[in-house]
Amino acid sequence: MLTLNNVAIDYEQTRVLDGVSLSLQKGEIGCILGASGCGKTTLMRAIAGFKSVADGQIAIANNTVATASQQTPVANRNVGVIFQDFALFPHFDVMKNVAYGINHGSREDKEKLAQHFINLVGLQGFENKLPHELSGGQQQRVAIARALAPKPDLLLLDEPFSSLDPDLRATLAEEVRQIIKTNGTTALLITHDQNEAFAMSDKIGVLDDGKCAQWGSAFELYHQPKTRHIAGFIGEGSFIKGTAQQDSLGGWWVRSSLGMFALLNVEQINKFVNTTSYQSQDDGPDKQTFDVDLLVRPDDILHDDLSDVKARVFSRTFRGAQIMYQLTVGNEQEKVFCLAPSHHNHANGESFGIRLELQHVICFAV
Amino acid sequence: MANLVLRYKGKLYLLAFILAACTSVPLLSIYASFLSFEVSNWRHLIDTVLTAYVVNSLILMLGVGLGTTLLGTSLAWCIVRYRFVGRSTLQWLVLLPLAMPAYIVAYAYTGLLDFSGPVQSWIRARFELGFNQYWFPEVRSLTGAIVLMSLVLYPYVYLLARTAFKLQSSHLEEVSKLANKSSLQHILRVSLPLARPAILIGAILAMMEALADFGTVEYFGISTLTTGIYRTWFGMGDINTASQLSALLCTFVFVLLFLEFSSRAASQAYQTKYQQKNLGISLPWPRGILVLVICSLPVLFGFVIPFGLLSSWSIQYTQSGSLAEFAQLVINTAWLAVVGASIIVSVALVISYAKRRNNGAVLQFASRFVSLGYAMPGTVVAIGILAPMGWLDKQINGLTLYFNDSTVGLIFSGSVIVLLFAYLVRFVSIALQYTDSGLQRIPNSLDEVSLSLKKTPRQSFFNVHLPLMSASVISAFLLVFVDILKELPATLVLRPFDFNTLAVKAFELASDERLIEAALPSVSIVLVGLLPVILLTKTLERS
Repeated sequence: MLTLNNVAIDYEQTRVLDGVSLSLQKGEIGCILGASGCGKTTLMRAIAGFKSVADGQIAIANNTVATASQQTPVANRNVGVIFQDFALFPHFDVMKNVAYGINHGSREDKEKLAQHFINLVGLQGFENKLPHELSGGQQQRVAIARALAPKPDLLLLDEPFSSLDPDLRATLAEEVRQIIKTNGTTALLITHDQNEAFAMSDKIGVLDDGKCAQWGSAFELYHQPKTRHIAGFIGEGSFIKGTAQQDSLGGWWVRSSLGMFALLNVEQINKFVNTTSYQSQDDGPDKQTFDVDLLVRPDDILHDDLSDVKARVFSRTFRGAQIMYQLTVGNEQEKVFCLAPSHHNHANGESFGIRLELQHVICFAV
Repeated sequence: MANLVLRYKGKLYLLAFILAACTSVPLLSIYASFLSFEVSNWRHLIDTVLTAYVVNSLILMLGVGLGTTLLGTSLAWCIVRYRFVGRSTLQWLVLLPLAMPAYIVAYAYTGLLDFSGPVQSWIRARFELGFNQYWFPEVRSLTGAIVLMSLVLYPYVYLLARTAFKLQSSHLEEVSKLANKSSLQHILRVSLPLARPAILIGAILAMMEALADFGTVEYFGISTLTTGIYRTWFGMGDINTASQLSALLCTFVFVLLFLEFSSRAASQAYQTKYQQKNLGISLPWPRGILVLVICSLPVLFGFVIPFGLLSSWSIQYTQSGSLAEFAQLVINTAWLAVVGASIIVSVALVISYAKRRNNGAVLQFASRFVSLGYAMPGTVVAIGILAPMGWLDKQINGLTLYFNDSTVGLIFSGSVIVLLFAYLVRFVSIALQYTDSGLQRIPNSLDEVSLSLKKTPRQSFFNVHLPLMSASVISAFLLVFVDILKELPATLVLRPFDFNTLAVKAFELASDERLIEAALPSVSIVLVGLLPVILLTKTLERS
């Protein structure tokens, strides 16, 4: 439904985005996630047609809408946009705002269709209210109804929750997802908030340094991050030092102060195999070692009194059901996080036994 | 199909550019007059009247600059620095002279202070004196013109000085006190220098008005550049020399405009970031009353007395004169002002909207020309339009003679179209200020939403922009309406034969020494002129 192929965008002669590729199937909700100023809003504006691309192609519903030489005007792209400030027309009531984008049919047909979308977003009874009479959450639903009413092929949402109360965001994100899914619309969300991204989307792209570093599900980003940046950016975690080595049977292992783990990630293994030092070795493959940083998530470290591996509490944050410990391990040089149930209560400086249970071994060559 | 939106943008852009370019015609025309330069003509001018024109214009300009600076600055200082009974009312009362065109004040004071007026008659009766046996200042003089113009133009300085003083943090004065400086030292060394750029801007605006004034000086019989231009055209029918004199006057105006522009940069640099609100010193009632009385003097002389006089004359006139003629005059003027304001606001909307959608360098350059229009004196605009329109008529007649063997006569010259065009040149920049700021208040995301909902720029404009900026459009319309109503020299030169407006009729009657009859149209102009003053006070209260 939406395909970006090697898209590059210039902003006043500087290339802000380069080689961005991603694709969305019909009915999927995608998300562009990135820190502020990384160019994610620029990318959205290019998809909508407010900005031209310098290289690559954008296709919506199998029509190429933007290349470096040809730009389909916004009006012909059939996209709906929800802006950060909602951009409701302050002089139109809810009904008129929603009906504004319905360009065909009689007045009655238009109102009927608008009413359908007002009902979809749960605003029946508010048809004659002006935007300033509505709460922030209600205003946003009007913006969604207005964007959906012309039945766009693609819905773009630019930081749709940022002007709302933080308490509201989580519940609204789920509601908005429901509305979009019920309507069967393909949508692309732009946000800097990973919780929002996780709650809303089927696929997430992380923008970093002008590139789309990874395009995949939230699970993939968390458990199979492709770059160190993504590993650090998504979720909580820390890195400990380790070495990677191939055994005589051909299997790869990562050795660290918290134990030895099998490395199964083919992409990562290939990176080692492709290095020149590995290819030109004389001693045989099993002698070659690589220094790596091993990613350890707080939920990978289990509280285990029977374990021989002891860690000292460096700092702790009480989170109700759980306590997030920052622990020093090894020669007290390395720090890891541990999310332990609340009843395992330890003061700063105390030690307790831990066990590292790595489901997904992620390491990056140093 | 792909570039549908771009093509539409292009059309709007082109229209805006053509309209903006049209307004530069008079300016180009007067400077182009030097292409046919006759040395003998100028030698004659220099030998006879040119020195008087230039010297009188400059004296008038500097005198008004000085007068408005003194009145406006001291008034602003008192009102910002002191709190006294009636201050809040006085704050907007002092703006009233803005509603009073200088030429109308001139009629009133001439009627009051002339030889046959009530004041001198009373002196003669009281002291039993005859003609020439006593000294009395002559109103119809350069000094008279300077005093009267200062009395109605000081609000320009007052408004800017007031803002400048208000923005001065009260901490500054406390620093001066800590340094053991007297209040006077603080005023002279801190307050006034800080407000100087703002005061200068106000004075320059007043000086530009003084240079452009035609009604007062013509009525007083003073030879200035504006009256000179008028006489060269009306008396001698010499459009080329009139254009060249206009270019000279225009150059003076542009020098002032440049000074104003450079002062603006300085005045912005002098604005302090952190402001401690300056509440003013509370004055106890005996001194408070004294300050109130002193501060009321400018508005008393600049508005209350002339307005009272004109009103009483108007009442005198209505008891004997014919009102049918006056009604016709009002209908004429209102029709002209409504049509003119509608056209001008529409043009301003086209230019503003084109700038919003596609702000290219060419259009920006063209819209600079538009804003010059307001600086050009009405007399100059009129002369600058006469020459090209005459040329156009000649060409049209040449064409019809060639193809049809007949002439169609003058199409533009002497028609309302030319007059409306002059108003457009002169007043579109005021309208543009309002339409620009009205559009700027609408977030760009509304345009983009509208675009993504497949609306053309035209549909967006009528459904979204126009309703949202209606207040700005109404203000623009009102201001242009009143300006057209007050306009004298361009109307006098360009009006169709036997077509009168309130301003022109009042001027003709006053020039014929029929002041009582001139009073009713004059009062009408002042009353309508109060509308923008009220609008201004509303804006000031909000800020």
